[in-house]
Amino acid sequence: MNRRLSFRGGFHVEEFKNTRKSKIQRMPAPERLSIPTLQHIGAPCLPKVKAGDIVDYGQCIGDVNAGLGCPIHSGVSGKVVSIDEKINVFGAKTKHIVIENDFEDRMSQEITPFTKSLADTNLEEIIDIVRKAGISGMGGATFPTYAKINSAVGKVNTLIINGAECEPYITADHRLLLEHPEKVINGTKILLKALGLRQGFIAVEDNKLDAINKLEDLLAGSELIKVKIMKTKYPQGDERQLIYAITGTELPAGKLPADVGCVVFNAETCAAIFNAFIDGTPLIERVVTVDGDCIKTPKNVMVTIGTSYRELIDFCGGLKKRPYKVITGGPMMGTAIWDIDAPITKGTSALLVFSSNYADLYSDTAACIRCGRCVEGCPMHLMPAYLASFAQNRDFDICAEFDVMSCVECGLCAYNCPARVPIVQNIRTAKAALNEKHRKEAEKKIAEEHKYISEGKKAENGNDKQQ
Amino acid sequence: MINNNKPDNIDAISADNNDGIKSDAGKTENNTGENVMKTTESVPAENTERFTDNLLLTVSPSPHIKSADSTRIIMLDVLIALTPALIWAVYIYGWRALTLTVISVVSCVLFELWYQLIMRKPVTIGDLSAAVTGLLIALNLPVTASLWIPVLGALFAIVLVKQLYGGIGKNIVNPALAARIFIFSSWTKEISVIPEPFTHWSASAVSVDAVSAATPLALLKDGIMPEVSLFDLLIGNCPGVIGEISALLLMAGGIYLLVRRVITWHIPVAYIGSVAIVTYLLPRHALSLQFMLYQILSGGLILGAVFMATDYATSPITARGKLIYGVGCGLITVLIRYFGGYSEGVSFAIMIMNLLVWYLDRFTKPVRFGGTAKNGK
Repeated sequence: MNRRLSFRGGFHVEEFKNTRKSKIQRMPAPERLSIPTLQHIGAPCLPKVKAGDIVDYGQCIGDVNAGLGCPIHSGVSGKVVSIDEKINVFGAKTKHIVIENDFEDRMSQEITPFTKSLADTNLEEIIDIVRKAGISGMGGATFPTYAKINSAVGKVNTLIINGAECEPYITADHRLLLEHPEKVINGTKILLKALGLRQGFIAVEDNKLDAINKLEDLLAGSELIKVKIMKTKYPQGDERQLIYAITGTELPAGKLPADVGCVVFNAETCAAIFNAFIDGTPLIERVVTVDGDCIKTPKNVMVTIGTSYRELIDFCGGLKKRPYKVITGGPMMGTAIWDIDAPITKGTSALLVFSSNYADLYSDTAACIRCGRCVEGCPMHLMPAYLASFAQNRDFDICAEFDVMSCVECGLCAYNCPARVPIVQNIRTAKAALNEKHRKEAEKKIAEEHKYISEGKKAENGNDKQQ
Repeated sequence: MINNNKPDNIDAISADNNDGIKSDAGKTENNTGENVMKTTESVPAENTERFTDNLLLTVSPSPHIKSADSTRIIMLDVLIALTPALIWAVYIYGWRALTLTVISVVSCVLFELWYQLIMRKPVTIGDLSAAVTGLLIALNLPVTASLWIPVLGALFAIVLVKQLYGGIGKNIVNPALAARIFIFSSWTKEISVIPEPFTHWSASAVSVDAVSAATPLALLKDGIMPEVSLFDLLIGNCPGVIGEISALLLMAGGIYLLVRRVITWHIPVAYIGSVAIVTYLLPRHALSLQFMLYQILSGGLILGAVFMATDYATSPITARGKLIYGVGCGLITVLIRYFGGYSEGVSFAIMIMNLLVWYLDRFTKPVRFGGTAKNGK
């Protein structure tokens, strides 16, 4: 078998891939969907429907033309009950379109398969379809996919499909690659066509050898798409580490992958692109790994976007222990949520429910013993121990000197810390303080410029009057 | 001061765990199935095992999981790694070696407890770091040392060197090494009697009267090959302080620490390697290879390189820093052994390098991912 690709730093964290053998189960659409108008990075959608409207399965219910819009669609046929403003799990006020399912499964007229062959397709058509299908990155960052394709065209020479899935617990991409490898492969082909490239790589960690074998069987002898086997190591799925492992190029801080000729798409995003072509289905459902010590039967579930966390948990047999923390995303970088009725969105790759066994992981009074494990593991080659202690002393300038802004908050340092220092949280404090400082400095500069300009104008006016 | 309320605690946003769920009778759905059966007879079946309406969840920043490693486990590993050498010392010198060790460990732990109690600091003796210091102090004593000596050493190490600088991780020099130097310079005569192997001392021998053996290092300093064979030095059939006699068992302990990821290879290899290279290239005897091996196997070099120089608080945390630190220790050790007033140079060498740790870290800061040496900012 091929050489395992990797990067310097990182650590093999305990995998907890309990659901690796659980087939993706489709969860029937619930009675009610609550679809947020903002599920991606960019401008929120403007609702195209109003309360009382009848909508069909797959119908576009919101879109916006301004800055990085990404349309949203209804995953059921039914009636729009209301459009509420709610605070989403990340703390931002967002409109949610609430649709009551009438269980008639009327297909929207908008869903039409793409009939041309890929060879006759051009870039504009592909971007149009991807945009119309409302596809945004499904690994968690949720950058609109059409915008990523657009920005990459002509600049990149390497396409990487990210199936590394380095976060513990999550097996959604693993199951997808195993059960529907053709979707990912065909999605990759569409992306290659769009980008005008002759070769793409699907990167998979070597803890998913079954999926790798399947892909290699299907791709035997293919020059177009190659499987790259990655060493199982966190955070292998970070696009910087992935690009480094495959091309040997380090992505400089503040640069986009396209600047070094690379573009990375998540595996499930590829499958969504394929679905948009073959059936015309927009992004209205996704695979979510449901796990954690409170879940009765951990599963991989195909969920309609807009289903609430509560309903998804019930679908997995409910809880067996008192929940302490509910996390959307992986345990290393995911977000703890407070609202169990919040909806599953395009970026939700996992739902983890942990009991109080996962309480008090870190301690503010803990003393760093300088063991150096954080330095050894840091994928960005920083010195987390020093950063954390400088940040704790509120010495943010020296944090900047020690490259605190390069931290990607992967969480490995805090995970490995034997002294239970909340390293990442201290670093976040420093980053926030420095960002605030830069913002104020920039504002001050702008204010000064304005003052200068207005004073200049006054002076000019004065001159005019004199004349 | 103590801060038990933890106002900045990252979990502080959460409600108290116990209040997390309103436990109305019949709605304790989050218990196990059995409990639900007992308490929810009047509730519709579909309603069981769902979240209650007033569920309060904890919100805290990622990461949400943690490795099982802890400071205590690391310190326990160090204790385990030193045990074979201690057992060997008891075999060579009798039970008095153990008596000294117990006194030293107990005094270190008690001094730490005492200091933390009177200063009203959180008590941290459970992290076992004081026990490690205690063990290292004892291992640096000759078996003939008076029983009060480790007590004074412990006081010096724990209170003066460690706690007054802020406790674990904050001390500038290695407490056990500082204590060793303190003891050796204060009671030079009491401490210089190093008896021949297999001169046994009972556990309770209070005062000891022994004939000192010539240590190999004292002979090597004058360019004389010691009579003891290299093999005896390796297995530990030679005179020395309690912990340094068996190079082999110390190396085994070092390998255990490497396997357990407690230490990395950088410091021991750089330290012993640089001593080896310098003594081989610039020997004080015609048989340079033999001279080099004697230099490595005698005295406290292995103990120092594996267990003292690798002390976390007083060694660099970058890989390059560790290498420079190790080489620095090695060069200073040879300098002292060749030209210094002592035949042994390990303690002073490590202590001098301890003082440079911050600068070593500062100037060996790794180049961040995606940054080149040029635009290192």
